[in-house]
Amino acid sequence: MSHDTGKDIKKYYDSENRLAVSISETLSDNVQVLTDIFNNCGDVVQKSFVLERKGKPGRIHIIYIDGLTNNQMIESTILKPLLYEWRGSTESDLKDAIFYLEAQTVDISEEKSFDNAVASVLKGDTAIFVDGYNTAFIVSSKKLPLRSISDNDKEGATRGPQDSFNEGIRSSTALIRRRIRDPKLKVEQGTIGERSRSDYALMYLEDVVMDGLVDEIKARFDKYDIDAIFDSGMVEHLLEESRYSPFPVFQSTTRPDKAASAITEGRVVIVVDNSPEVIIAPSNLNMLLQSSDDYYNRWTVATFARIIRYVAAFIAIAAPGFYIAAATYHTEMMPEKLLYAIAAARSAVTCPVIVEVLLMEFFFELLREAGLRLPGNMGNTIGVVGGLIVGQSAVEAGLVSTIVVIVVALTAIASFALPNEEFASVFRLLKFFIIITSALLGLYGFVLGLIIVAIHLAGLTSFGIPYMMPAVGGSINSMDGLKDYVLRAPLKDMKKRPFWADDNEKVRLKKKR
Amino acid sequence: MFTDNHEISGRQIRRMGILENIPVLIVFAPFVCTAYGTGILSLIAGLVLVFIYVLIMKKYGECFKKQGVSYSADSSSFTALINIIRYSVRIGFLSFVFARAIKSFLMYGISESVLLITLIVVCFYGSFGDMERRGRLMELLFMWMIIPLVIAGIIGIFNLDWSSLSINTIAQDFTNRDTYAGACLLLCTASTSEFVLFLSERPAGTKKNIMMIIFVSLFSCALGYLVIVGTLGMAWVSEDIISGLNVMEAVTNNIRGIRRIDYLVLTFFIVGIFAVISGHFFREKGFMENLMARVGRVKKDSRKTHIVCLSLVFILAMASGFFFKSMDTPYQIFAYYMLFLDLPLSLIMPLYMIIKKKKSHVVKYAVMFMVISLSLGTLSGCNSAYTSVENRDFASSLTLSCSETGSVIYEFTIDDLSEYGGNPGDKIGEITTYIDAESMEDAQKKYKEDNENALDVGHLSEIIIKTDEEKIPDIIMEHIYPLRNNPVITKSVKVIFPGGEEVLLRDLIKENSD
Repeated sequence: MSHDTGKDIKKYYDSENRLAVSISETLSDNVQVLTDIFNNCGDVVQKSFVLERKGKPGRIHIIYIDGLTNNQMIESTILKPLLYEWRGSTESDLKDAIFYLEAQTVDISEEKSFDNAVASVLKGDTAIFVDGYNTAFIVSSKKLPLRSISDNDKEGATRGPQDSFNEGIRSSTALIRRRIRDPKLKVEQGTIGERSRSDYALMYLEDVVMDGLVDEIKARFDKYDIDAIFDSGMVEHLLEESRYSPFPVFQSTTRPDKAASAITEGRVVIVVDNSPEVIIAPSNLNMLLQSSDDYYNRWTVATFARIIRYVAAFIAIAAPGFYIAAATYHTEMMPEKLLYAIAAARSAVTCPVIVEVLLMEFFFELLREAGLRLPGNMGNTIGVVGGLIVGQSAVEAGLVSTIVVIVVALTAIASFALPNEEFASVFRLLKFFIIITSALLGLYGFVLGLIIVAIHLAGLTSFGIPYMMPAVGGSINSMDGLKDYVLRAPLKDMKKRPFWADDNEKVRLKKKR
Repeated sequence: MFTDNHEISGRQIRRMGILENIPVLIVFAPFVCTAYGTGILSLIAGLVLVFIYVLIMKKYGECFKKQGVSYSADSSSFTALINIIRYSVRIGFLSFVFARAIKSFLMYGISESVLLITLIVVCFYGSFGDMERRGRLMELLFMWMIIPLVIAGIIGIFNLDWSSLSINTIAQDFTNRDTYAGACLLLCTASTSEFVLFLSERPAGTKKNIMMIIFVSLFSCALGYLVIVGTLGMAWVSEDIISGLNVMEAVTNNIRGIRRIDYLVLTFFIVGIFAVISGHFFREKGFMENLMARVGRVKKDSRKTHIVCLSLVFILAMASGFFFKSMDTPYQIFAYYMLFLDLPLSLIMPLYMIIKKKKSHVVKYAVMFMVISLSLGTLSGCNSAYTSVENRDFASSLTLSCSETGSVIYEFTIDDLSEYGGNPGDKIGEITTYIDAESMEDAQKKYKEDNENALDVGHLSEIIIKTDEEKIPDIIMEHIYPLRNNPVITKSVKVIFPGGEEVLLRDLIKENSD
């Protein structure tokens, strides 16, 4: 087989990598196109059949991808009926006969576009071309190689469901559908990626969703042509407004309950095929610090947990910088005993405080990265080995002092307390910025660094919603957003949806008469 | 997209107003009221003036709102240019003062230039974006400054030394011109409250919100004064414009077991400083964009315009900051500038714009206020050298001689009016006083320190030089020649040399000038 056919098939495609040919009434033409475009594709199965019919015999051509398709289902619902059970049929219109009588499946549709027909085949469906007609039948026959629905090990919760999304778009939408049994839950599907043709689904409640949000998301999808999409993360980066901001303006989750909850608040969930994480818009900082079990536990427990998280967020970004500022520029802030202890600990250390801290932070990030890449138990072991043995050795060798180990460890633990991993990564990044400003200008640099971060956050929006709501702009909803902020109000007091929900569907809880 | 309407809420206005007002009032008010005023009465009088001033600004803003215009966006090129200069000067001065404060109280080992530059840069960055973004930022930062300040204030209130406030002298201070001098200068300081004009233009700049800003700010200023002066004492506070910040250490020292919390309080006070200076940047940016659009004939909302405007604003601010840093007497320069230029301009220019569009009753208030201020200013004579006649001692002759140590002694012969009742036959005695001084001004200053009355040299009839021949030239050059710049001393005064030779001061000056 020559590779020169690659150049020949270009005649079938347009500039957007879509098939420009139409389905011909002559089956042999269609077969030729299919043969040409699927040249050198060993996993494509295609065959022509002759259907015994009274009068003129019918001819069909079936094509599917081995490995993506449930071929047994095709054989039992399509091939057997058409070739055997309905042989000798007197129906004059073969196309209608196949569609309404002979094919023993509900999920069959007619397709006029060659490109869409091929795209369906590539997704795991089966295409049936019929001689004499310029349409093809698409039979849903997907049997994709997927992980089963597993426990959620990425976003743990003390209470609540433990299932998680997997890579299949249909199973993900089904998990959400299970939780919202409302016909107003819409699943608008589309594809993105010229080559990957990845499916995505916008899920929202029609009467609750923020006005104009769905259209805006669709407009953003249409704004770019991209080669391929492999994960919802890529979709997130494609749709966001501010590409240089380290803060995510979409919330990502592997938890179906979180996604369903977001939909009931008037937000849109974007499910992307081949991605076990869905993304939710709009989102803000407060949402990224919330956990699912905040709503399943009692409000006192949930409030306490949230306070811990907010404090942890501050520690994650500020602790190392503050330590550097205090130890380098403002030693008079420390009580004598602590100061003398630090001085004694540092007497064996050769490098300045800033170098110590940067060294330990870098070491920690290295450990974290290594732990992620190593499989299973080895990853866990690395954490223990690195933390205990190497850290201790570094202290004994005089590279770092014990106090720095404590500060860095505290910072690390604080960052792990944040429920959203992507969000926690931002804090790990920003702490270096605060470290540098504190190292340069002490407490003055520390507060300037925080002010700069605050300036950036104040200007950030997610589909028009201020990122720092309800801390800012909360008065638009009569400060109702404070009920689900650091303090979580009792469930019976959280009667209203967030302010962006449709005006006619603001109430989500009311007493029955 | 959905909520971006370039407007701010009432809550954001209140927080922005309070955050932009309090830092300046708390830092500057105690200094001007103690150094140039008489303390509490100056504060009270000053706050009344500030209240009236802010009300005028509020009225101006409401007029603009009714007329559907914006002061920054719709003013003429000339007005825009003047305001750009005004705001640059203010930014420069405030940055300079607060950079000094940060150096003195927090980062003493860091160069002042570095602190100045970083402060300007960060405040400049804080002015990016539209009003909505600024509103969100101020709403976010509000608690960062207020909570530590309130805690420090509460602790300070319970540890006041009421005697330091000199409340018992209030009755006497009513007649003291310095009282009104301090009040005027407090008004000058608080003219940064001009931002109320811009807030009142906004839909959410309602009477309720603006009044809340005013009352909270004035109350905070008064409370800040009580805590600062009550803790540190008038003498200390009057030493320097930033002396009042020592209160943070004095107050938080009372918290046992935790050291130097004042560093943290001051650290978060920097948030307020940022709010003030970035607010000035923000408004200057508006005027700059207006000017660029008119003069440069460019689109107001284009990215290029934004970049050019921001760049110009930044350069002007830097230049201004370093200008003040290079001056020997920056405070004095700024005080004169504020009193005689900035404050009147802040009243006149918006008024002119309103009158051009439509006469309104605000004219009445503004004119009334200007009359009151000018009157007070005239009465107080914000130069404290203008003392009333009964509080002066009049020197009739001056003898300059050298002491054994080489310093020059000013021997004043002063008419003693203690037994003089203005009746014929009443005797006028003479008192001689000796002052070791470096110049006439120095001698007058030292006289005032030791006496109740000021020394008036406007009636000198003769200057006698009583020293060795070889020291006469030095005496002339260092002590007599500088009198050419003293308008009070008539140049017809006789200068008498040791040998009896007499020369008119005018001729002596002329000789030495050649």
